[in-house]
Amino acid sequence: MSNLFRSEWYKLTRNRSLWLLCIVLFAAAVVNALFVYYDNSNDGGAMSASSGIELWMSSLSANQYIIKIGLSILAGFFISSEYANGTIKRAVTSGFSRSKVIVAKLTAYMLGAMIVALIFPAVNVVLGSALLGFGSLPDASNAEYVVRTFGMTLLVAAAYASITGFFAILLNDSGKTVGFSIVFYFFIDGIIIMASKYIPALKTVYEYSVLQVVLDYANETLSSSKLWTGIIVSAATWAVFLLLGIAAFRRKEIK
Amino acid sequence: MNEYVLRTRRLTKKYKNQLALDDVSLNIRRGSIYGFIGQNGAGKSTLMKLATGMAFPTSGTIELFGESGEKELVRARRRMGIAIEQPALFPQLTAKENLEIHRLQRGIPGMEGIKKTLELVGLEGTGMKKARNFSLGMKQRLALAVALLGDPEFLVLDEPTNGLDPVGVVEMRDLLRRLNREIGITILISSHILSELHLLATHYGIIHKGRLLEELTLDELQRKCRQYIRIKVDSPQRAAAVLERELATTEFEVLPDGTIQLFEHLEHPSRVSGALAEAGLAIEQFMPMGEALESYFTKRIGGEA
Repeated sequence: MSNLFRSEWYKLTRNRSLWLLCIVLFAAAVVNALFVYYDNSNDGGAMSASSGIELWMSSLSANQYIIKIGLSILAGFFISSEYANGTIKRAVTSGFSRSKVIVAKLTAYMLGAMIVALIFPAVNVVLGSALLGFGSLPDASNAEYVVRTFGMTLLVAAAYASITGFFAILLNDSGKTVGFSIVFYFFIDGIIIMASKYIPALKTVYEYSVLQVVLDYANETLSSSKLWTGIIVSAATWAVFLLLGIAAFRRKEIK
Repeated sequence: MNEYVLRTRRLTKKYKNQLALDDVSLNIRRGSIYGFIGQNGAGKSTLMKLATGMAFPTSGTIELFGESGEKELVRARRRMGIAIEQPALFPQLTAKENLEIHRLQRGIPGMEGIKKTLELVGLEGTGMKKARNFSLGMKQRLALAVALLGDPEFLVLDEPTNGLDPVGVVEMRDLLRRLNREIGITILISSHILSELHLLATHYGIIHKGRLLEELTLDELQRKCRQYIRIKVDSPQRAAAVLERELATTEFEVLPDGTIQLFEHLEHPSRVSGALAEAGLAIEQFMPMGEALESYFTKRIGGEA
């Protein structure tokens, strides 16, 4: 298993889409922090953050788009592209069970997803603190907020990676995976909310889904019960879709 | 040690309504080069995919190195090197990086194997060139290098000479022969270029429309494809003595029905018939026979030779 993971990690670190995403997100974060520094909201500017911690907070609320789009791109070019290249054959015939093969791949992908999810807020807070000072939050402890949101970012990224990884296993093709995942993530909230008018139980399902967690976890005043719900929902989503991914891959014929 | 590296029993594979493999029982002996002959779509790649675990059989069994349990088959595949259909490569990586992935996956210690394997397939000088910029021939060599890394005991190669230039084909053939003779690697190789297989394989399997029509050794095939003069005379024993004495040959066979197959003097049939006539033998039949592999194969699959 460790051999498989080492091989997947090697592939991930040489995956151009991961590097491209990292560079784009790094550059976007630098630009964002510089905008905030030069565009003073007290002087008619549009940017509202005035410290590193506020930049961390605002970048986390934008992070849901990065998680949804970034992970879809990474899944397409890290998982699905192996079907097009034929390299999935090498893994399947390597003498390890299919479950181990796909767990190694999804684990590497999940770590890549966590890196993608952290870059934008991390660069913002570091650069923002250097330029504006770290600052403080009015309604919460800085340390508690940073630790909580840092952990939740990783957990939410893992849950989304698990879902997108499952799509990638099913779809076999980079273009289809990227396209389908982005369309799915952009419309699923609206579809569920609309459908819940006719099936009220869907509203409850939505409120206890990772789709809702990603919207809430950066709230400064998140209650303890909501935090625990977020942790459990994210962990359960990760586990369920990982198992679905394993089941799908075990039955998959490699063409 | 098991005598066979791969055996299948009544292996069948159905895709929706299409029967890709039908009741195939195939036997590949350790140390052999098994040439798998069949037209496009005959079922060669399907059988290879089933044997390597890429697809699942509808019915029947697969035995690798004497193992047939599900977990044992997965483990047995560590002893195989595989290159099926188009070269399975990471296009954005170099030859060395492609092999490094395989090295890590198989837990092969040290980098020495990568260097040796690249030298073996003639790709040691490709440096930082990405696989996507390789010619098809170079990609085929790299795919073979991947299959060879880790010293497999059994190589499964599907059309490995596709895209190679004539020199490359000869080099590939020499390499495979060397691997077989010097290291003892068993090879299952498919190709529809029969003349090429004929120069390499020690055993053959002919597959057509998913059915394995025949398995035969090189000797058996050569006997079937060998050119000879078919002679029927009133006394086969005397004729045999004449051939030995007058034509100084032992390259003939007397069949149970008294027919003689003479494998020499094909260029000078009149010398043979003259010698037999001079010995007072009554010649009932005298005709050149035999066929090339292509015509044998065509006849076997029901076409016109």
